[in-house]
Amino acid sequence: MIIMEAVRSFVYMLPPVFLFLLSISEEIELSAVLSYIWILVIPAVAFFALSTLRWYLYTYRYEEGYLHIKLGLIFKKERSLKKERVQTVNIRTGLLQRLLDVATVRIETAGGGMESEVILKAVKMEEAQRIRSYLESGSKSRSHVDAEESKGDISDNVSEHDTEYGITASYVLPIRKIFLAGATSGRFMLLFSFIAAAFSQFYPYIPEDITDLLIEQLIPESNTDILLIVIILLSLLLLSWLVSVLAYMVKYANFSIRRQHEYLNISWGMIEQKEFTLKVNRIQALSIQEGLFRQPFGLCAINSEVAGGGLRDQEYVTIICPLLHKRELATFLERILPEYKIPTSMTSVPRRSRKRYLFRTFVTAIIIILPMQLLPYGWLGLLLLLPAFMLGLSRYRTGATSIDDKQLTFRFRNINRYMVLMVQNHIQSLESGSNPFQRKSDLSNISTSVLSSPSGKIFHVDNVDDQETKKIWKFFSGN
Amino acid sequence: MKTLLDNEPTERIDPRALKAWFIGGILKGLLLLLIPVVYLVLLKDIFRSLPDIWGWIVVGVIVVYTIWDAIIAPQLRIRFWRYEIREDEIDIQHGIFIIRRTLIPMIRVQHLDTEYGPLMRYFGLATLSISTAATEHRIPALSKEKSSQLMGEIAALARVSDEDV
Repeated sequence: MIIMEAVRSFVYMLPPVFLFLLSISEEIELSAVLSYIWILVIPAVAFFALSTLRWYLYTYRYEEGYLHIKLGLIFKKERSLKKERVQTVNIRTGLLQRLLDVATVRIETAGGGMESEVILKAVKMEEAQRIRSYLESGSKSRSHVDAEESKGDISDNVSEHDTEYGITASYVLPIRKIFLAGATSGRFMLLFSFIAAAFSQFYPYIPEDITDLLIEQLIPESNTDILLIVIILLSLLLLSWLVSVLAYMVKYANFSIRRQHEYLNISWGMIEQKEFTLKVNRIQALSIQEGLFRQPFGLCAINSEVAGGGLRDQEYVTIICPLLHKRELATFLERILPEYKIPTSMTSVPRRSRKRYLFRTFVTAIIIILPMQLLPYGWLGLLLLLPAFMLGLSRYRTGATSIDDKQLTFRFRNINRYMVLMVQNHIQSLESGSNPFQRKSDLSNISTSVLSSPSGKIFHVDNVDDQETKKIWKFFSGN
Repeated sequence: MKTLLDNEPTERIDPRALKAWFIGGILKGLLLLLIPVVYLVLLKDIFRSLPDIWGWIVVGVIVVYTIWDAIIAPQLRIRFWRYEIREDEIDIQHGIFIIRRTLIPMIRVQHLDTEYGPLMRYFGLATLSISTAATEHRIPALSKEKSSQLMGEIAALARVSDEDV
């Protein structure tokens, strides 16, 4: 751990020093710099000493259902966590950490606030797993578990209060799917943003003649030149897309999700590996998104709304599965999250809402088109009318609701298509609203609010039939 | 006027709110009136060329808005704000053109707040704010006694369990 901390502090110090040197580069000679390099040794030694001190003073101990943390020389800090209060255990490793076979363990408890989070840095990998199983076997089987015992597979520690969801199922995303996910994720400007960022950083340092040369090259002088520019731009775009896909694949490589009793274990990453343990009842809602680029292929992604944990440096796990084919949805949920079901049939919004949906997109389009008329080529704005019509129609056809046992499902489209599954327990409030025109046609908008991170989130389906709204009301109300 | 869903909630907000909203509306109107007054009186001395008519139009708009805000809207609000506290849920209905009805299960209620500005306080009124984990809902202009009574009731009925959230 000492090495970790020392290296980390050193690394943090480097960029400012580097930039500082860069900014005064005109005034110093390179040879003079080199002779001063030994100056860097002093802070290195200091960091080393500090890190050793910190390591020595930071201890933890777990036993009897508690995790104790102690830190400090002058100002001592001690904290005890009750095992049952632990909601999330995250294990995270970066490249450097992997080389040293350590990981960072972050523990979140219920309640939120500064007190609810504990971070153990640079714990040995097996130790990290041990801590995790110890804390996971929390709520039901307290008497069974000792620190030593929990070395093995958690299924060995099954308690007598086995719930009906005592399954262990896992799903690993194959590379092909990860590629597809990256390709259809709608991100393709990565290269461009790199270039732009790098350019803005180094602009003052590029000598005059080079910038003149570039500008000369870029401004076209004849038609053939324009064609060349276009080709270059297009190939850059293609390259940028490929780079984005690659970056996505590296980020989400080895994605796997595992269900163990009431915990979900989600991990991904190649360079920086992340592993999250999430108690299933913290999931407030599941949202299945079919992005614009994915819907034509019948692909979707599953995200979740999760009740927040600690406050600092939050990494809210929301991805349940980056890419899935729609036909695999039902089996996926059955095995990994049987608390949620895909409804077999949904009640669509009635015929008479079609004109309301069309009306709304039309009006938005008109609001954009009208001011455009003041500009040259403003009439091009009229081209917006067709997509507006199609969007409205598509929204009308998507709108639907469904009640299945204890679950309420909404289906709607803003740009992308969404299906949100909510269990009654986690719906915070229900609201129904309507304007006079809707009231005349027995229509209303219905919306729910669920707890999300950082604050609540509202889902709504518009222009639902009054009868259906009454059913949903009754579903939610006690009466 | 047709209402949303059957069995409207039964309770209404305090009629004293009418007076409070009336005075509030008038004050707001007077404040807004300052803008065209400044425009018409002071600026005219500085920039001779600006037309008077704009000033008067703005005055007209403000007067109409104030009549709406201080007299008409409160009446409608009193008529349309309804709430009901049942043993396991809170039912709120409000809105004039766009009518909204909200249902909050008692076990989702996390905390309650009462808010009152100086005007409301003078009339002995307060706004009760009910917060769930996700959102906040308000019942305006309840008498202070009523709002503390409701706070007590709801606090007794509300039990948010850890496992649910």
